Amino acid sequence: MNTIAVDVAVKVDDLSVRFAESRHPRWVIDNLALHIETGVVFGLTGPSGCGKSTLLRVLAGVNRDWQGTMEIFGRAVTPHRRFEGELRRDVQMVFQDPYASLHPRHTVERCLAEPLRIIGVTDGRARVAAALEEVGLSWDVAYRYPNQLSGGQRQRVAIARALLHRPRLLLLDEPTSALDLSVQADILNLLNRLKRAHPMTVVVVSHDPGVIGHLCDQAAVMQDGKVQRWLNRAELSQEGSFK
Amino acid sequence: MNILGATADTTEYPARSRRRLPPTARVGFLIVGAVVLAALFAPWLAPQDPLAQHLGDRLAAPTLTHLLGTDSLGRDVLSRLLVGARSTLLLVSLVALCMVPIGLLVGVVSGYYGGWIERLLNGLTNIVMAFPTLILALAFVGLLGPGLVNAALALVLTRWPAYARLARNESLLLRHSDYLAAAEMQGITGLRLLWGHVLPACIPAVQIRLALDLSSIILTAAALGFLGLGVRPPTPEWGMMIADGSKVVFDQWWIAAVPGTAIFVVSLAFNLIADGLRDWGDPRHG
Amino acid sequence: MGEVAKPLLRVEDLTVRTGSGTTLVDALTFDLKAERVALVGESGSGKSLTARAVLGLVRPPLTVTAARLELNAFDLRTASAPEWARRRGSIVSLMLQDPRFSLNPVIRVGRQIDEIMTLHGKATAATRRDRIRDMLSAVGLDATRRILDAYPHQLSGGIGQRVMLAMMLINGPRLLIADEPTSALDAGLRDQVLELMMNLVEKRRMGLLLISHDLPRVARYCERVLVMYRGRIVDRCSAASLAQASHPYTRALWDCRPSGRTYGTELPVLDRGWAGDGATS
Repeated sequence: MNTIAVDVAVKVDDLSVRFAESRHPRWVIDNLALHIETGVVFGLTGPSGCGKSTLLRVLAGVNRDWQGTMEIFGRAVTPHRRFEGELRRDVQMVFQDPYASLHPRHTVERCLAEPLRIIGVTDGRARVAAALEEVGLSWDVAYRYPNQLSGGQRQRVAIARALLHRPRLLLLDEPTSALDLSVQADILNLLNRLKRAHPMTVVVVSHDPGVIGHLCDQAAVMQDGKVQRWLNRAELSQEGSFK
Repeated sequence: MNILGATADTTEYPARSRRRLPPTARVGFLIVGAVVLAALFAPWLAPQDPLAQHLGDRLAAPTLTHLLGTDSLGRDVLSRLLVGARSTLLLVSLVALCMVPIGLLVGVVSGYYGGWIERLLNGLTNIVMAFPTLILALAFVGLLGPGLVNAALALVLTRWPAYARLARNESLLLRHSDYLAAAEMQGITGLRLLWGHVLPACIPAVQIRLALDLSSIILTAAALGFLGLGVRPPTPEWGMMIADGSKVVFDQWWIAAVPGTAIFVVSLAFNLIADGLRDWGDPRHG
Repeated sequence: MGEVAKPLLRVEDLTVRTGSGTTLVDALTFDLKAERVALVGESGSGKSLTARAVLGLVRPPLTVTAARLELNAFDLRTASAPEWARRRGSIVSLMLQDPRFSLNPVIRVGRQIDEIMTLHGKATAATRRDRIRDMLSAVGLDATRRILDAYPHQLSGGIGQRVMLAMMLINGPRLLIADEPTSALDAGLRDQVLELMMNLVEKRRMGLLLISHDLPRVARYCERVLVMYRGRIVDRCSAASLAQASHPYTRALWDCRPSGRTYGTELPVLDRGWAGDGATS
């Protein structure tokens, strides 16, 4: 495994994504350029429809209809192609609504064990138990279905799943928007802990400036598919700097 | 979202294997079990020879010798009912076992892959669906010759589109969902994805449809038999018995009513099972 | 004139139980005058259920009992269906989280607003048109065909909530109950909608029961706060004194909000030890 230590985790240039809806196709992302250094927690914020979630999905390889150039950890990524092999393992995402990303008919155990089985891991049960413990869940929840878990628990399972392959780039799409304020605090603490325990580059999308200010080292405020402002840590610490 | 609040919170649920089958499903299983047993032991349970004709005693009302009367050829209705259970159940099982997998396969593949595959399979589904079931079945049986297996095959070939449609609808919904995107991120693709992630979503709708379909399969087979293209007489079969009895339904109503009630009871049982299994098996409808 | 204002809503020992005997709301007691009160708690605390009990929307197998349940001095415990129907939408209104899920999705919004008026009065079509226009303008919208002819799912978040607010206030209710009215909105829009709600409620001298999980935010728009946990009210205080709250649960709810200034720190999480149960999120 030749993981080159790269300084730049994500390098995007001239990125454009078009949403062809009926007669008026619009540019959801419009000639966007982005550089994210390795090890940074990077925030993307902006009003609904600004393109932040779409950008995240492009980085994740979920949305493959884009134009432009993209490099992840120094490797070029071609549009319209699925991520495979090492790239696929290196980039993982936690979706916005865990209820929509955890298969309703799969138990938690299956959800976490299946990806391990595919890559030939033999001590699946131990790994699943470890994954659950890492996100603060006990083995009790292993055989429950998503609808038998609280919102916070579901999101923890989604995070555990994303971390199974020890990704180098972790993408979080509104990770706490669907949660109560108190549960959000728990999850944010968990995310900070995980970031300290595992060297990762993290990109967070959130419409909540408080979440961005709390988690991120740098951020970009988007509007209409473009970046309006770049924010460094000092600016993020100021209240109301990006209202 | 439910009326009780913004999001449902943790509940105390026993794990799936510990949840008991609902009473409706248990009743359904009991009934189907009883009918299957009756069919298995029919030759020994039947009081008379189902094929023996007592022409002097035709169209007789229920008596002690013929507990459910006799039909237009003087054959004991009860015996025919018991032995006929075999043909009917065999036919229905064959049809169900073949039609559902074919429909699921076509539907899941076309819904998931999209593009030209979807257009092709969709076109095929629509063409087959556009034909009146009976005419198409007649054509197949006409080609293949009469008999139980051929009748079953004809029914399979004409009825799979409905299941393909259902499966395609569910797969379409799933194609753009986050479930599949998440699974693909974990490297789950291809057959494993279709079998383990897409297919389970199609099962509930298919189960329900199947339960409702069973009685109509029996009756379509009866129609085929009526025209001499199904189970060949004199082998008893419930649908055919209804067809025979319909000719004299105003005076000797029991000849059609008895097998009709039997079909009704079995269909009801299948419906109860399907309903109960869906509630038990789908974690969302606990 | 020295007369103590009569409470709009009086609730005493309100209890909601499931069919199998689990208590979801446990002997709740509170009063509400023409003031703004926030009912705050996490999911599952019973706050939404309380709202629905007050509106008579709790159905079997859940059961509702109360020593007192009065709206505008009318005893709700023995109210018949027509008596309820007369009051909902005209004396008390319920505003929910998302118009896509709480309005009829196949009827245009203009017609739904109209319907609320015809259900509770006999105004002429012209009068109704005027009232709709006035009400929409009060929530900051023009009564254009674009809005009136839209279906609920076609209205964007902020506009949809304003329309719903207009709908709920058009009959001049005395009490507005709002259940998580801004949870589905972007952070930027939440304050706008809450501010609008506060202004309208003040101007009309109505009562407001604002239900939410976001204590810091709703405290800015309310005068009093009731904190619920597992079906009980565990703390009551004025909004102004929340920063000095002494109850551990209230403190945690107040302090757990992330911001640019909490970067690098661990946010205070709810320690439920004080409640005597080992529940974790």
